[in-house]
Amino acid sequence: MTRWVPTKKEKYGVAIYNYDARGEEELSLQIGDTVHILETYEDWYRGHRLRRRSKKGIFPACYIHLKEATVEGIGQKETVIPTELPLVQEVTTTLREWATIWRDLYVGDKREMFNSVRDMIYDLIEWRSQILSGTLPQDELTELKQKVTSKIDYGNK
Amino acid sequence: MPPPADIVKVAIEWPGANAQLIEMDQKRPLSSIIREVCDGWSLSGSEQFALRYADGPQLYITEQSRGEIKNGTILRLAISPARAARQLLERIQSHVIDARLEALKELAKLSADPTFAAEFINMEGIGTLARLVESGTHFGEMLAFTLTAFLELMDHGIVSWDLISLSFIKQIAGYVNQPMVDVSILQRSLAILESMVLNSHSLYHRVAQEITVGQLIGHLQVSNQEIQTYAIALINALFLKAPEDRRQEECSNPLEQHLTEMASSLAQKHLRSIILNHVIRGNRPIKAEMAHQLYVLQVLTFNLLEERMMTKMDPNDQAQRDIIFELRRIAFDGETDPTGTEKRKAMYTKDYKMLGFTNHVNPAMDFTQTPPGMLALDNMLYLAKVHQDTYIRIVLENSSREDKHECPFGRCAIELTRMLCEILQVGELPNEGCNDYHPMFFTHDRAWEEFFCVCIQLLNKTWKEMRATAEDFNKVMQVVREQITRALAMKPSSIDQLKNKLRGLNYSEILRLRQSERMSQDDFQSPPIIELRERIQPEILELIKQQRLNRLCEGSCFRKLGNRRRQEKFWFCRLSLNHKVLHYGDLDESPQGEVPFELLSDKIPVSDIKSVLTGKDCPHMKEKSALKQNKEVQELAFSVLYDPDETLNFVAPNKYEYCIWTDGLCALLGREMGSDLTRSDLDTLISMEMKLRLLDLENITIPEAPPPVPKEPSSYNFTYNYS
Repeated sequence: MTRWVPTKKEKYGVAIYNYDARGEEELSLQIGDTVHILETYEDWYRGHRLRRRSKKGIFPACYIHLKEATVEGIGQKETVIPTELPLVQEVTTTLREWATIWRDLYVGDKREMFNSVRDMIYDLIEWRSQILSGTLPQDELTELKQKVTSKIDYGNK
Repeated sequence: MPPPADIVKVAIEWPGANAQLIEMDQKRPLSSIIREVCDGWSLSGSEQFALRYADGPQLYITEQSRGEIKNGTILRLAISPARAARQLLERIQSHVIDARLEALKELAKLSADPTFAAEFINMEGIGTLARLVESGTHFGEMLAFTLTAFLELMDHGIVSWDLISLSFIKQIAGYVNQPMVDVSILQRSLAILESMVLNSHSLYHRVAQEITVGQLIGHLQVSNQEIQTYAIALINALFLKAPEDRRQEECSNPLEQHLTEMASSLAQKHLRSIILNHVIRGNRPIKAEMAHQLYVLQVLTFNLLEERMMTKMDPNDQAQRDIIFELRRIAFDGETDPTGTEKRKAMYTKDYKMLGFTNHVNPAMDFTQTPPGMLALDNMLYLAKVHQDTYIRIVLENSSREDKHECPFGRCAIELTRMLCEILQVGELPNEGCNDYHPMFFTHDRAWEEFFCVCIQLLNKTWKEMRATAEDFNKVMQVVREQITRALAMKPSSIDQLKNKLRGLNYSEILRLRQSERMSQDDFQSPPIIELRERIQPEILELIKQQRLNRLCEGSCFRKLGNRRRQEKFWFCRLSLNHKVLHYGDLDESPQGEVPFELLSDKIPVSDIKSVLTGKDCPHMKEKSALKQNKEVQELAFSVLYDPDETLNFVAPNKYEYCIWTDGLCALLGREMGSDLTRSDLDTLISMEMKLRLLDLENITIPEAPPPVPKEPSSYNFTYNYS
């Protein structure tokens, strides 16, 4: 019987559309979800979402925009690390951490803090997208990176 | 019931008779339908008749066009196109002037009909018309109708323009050259000449010999925009069809010059200033057709640059190398050349480096790329000669910088020239239906070069604003392109206005525009994103509910109403932590910090609450004393109705507390939270959630429709089988 083939280059991607699982073996995806791809067969991938690793499943390959990533470990311990600028990744992680704090501030009705954290998150999102746009001159990029780092430090306090 | 598809119901008219209403069977031949209609009015010889539409252009109906007839159309029985053509051909040659005029008028109208035109042309009708024109006996209205008919017939493309005789051309050109000719004749003559030039190569030469720029320019100085438009259209046609080699010739007196030399710079200067003063800055708004002709003229003018743009520099050509020497001399004049070949060479290389060339040793190599080829060198020389101060300032400013931030003039000028050619689409034929002309380019004889000079200064400025280094070259060019295209889109009316617009579009402005465009893209209108939004919503609403209930558990202090003598009386209300009981009680003063449940003497079990009322529905807003209360208080009022028929009445201290409490109470009762605050909170929270969810999709296109799901895999035999 034919077997699914472990992927070598296609290891990491992001869902470009919502996909609803239609059976036990399938994995539902929401647009924007990042996935770790383990193996492939015909027009399908099998893997799990990066933010919820426990559930594995198959999903159509055409719902995934592949991104560069390096793989560490093998078999069960395999992990993927996106090869984006480390700073961009740090910002992404930070943003998600802050968002959790931000929600807690909301539930606790700390309106003032809530608003100022929101502004900080938006600044960071905008800067992140400026870095990714690739249109900034080197000088400004360096400056922006410093700005981002100090903002992250400030925000984390 | 709808009638069968093959039947159309129409009315048919015939002068002096009652209209017939018939059901036309589209499967029957037209001739048999016409026979039946003729029989209805007792007309014999039905083959002499045809059907036409009664309205609009009154086209004849043919077997080919009958499918377009719709139910309820009014048709008219008429003499057949062949018979009409024969009759008209005789009548236009009548010796009775009135009869002839009447016939020509009818012919002018009928000639637009393709069926009629085919018949008329078959009978050598065009030749007859041409002879009538050549005879020179027609004037005024009669001539206008003749020319209209001629033009309409030719427009059907049945007869080749090549068959038109020279004497006819001379006659038509004569009308254009006459100073006081009737407007309608002039307009048709210009149109006929334009068609000749566009449709036949041999006629182009003949027309070009008959018409001079001066004569056409005269027609631009009139107050009739239609005539101006036709005149520019003819100029454009001549321009477009001019053979390559003749377009660029120079001539001393443009007014006597034939149109084949249309493109000569002097003729153009004159033409340009006339167009600027009498058309663009004339006191009438420019209509779409005129805008199109101006656009065509602009494109054709810029296309003259194509040859230089596609010419590579010949590194061995001394004359061309001299231009580079000249650039060097103007920039670094006064420095004496050292003696000795080696030393001189070293100095030249240093100078060329300062001029910002990529090949310091042999800058000629920089001009071997096409586009922009020699056009870039032409632009640089123009800048150096005409705007010497600017040129020297740019070069010296950058050559004296010691850091890595110098802006390489040579490389910039070459790349900029290429970009401007791209923006203006130099070398491409004009688009049908495009009206995108720029008044600015008609305001200067060297508009192209001036445009370049403004843009090179812009580039230099943007470079500094971006604090760019050599590796940012492409990024700077990208910003400059955006600045230029945005400024052009504002249609500056002069070069100075262009400078103004560009000043407003500095680098930080471009950044701001980019950012706001990015933000509006984030409005996320694509279907999968709207879908995701809807999916996230319940989760977010739960968050809002949690917050509202938390606040109710903390409790709030309310003011007692209606008792003026003891105004500062308070009461407090809070929800038990298990969300099952509302505790409340009076307070003597506004509380500081938490109020313990023990202090609150009264309580209502949540299960007893029947409903929540707001605003003027509240009992305490209906009381007499409350009627005097202003609207503001009413908007803050709410009541809890509970068993048995009792109410607890609140007036919130502010709108925010009002929203929190009404939402919270609704949530307790399992109802929808309907406050403005819920709406705005939902929006804030969802927008953020969406942004975060889509972070990894930055710069990736999202499909409008779901990608097709592939066939199920034929195997589920996985390799990775860890749980």
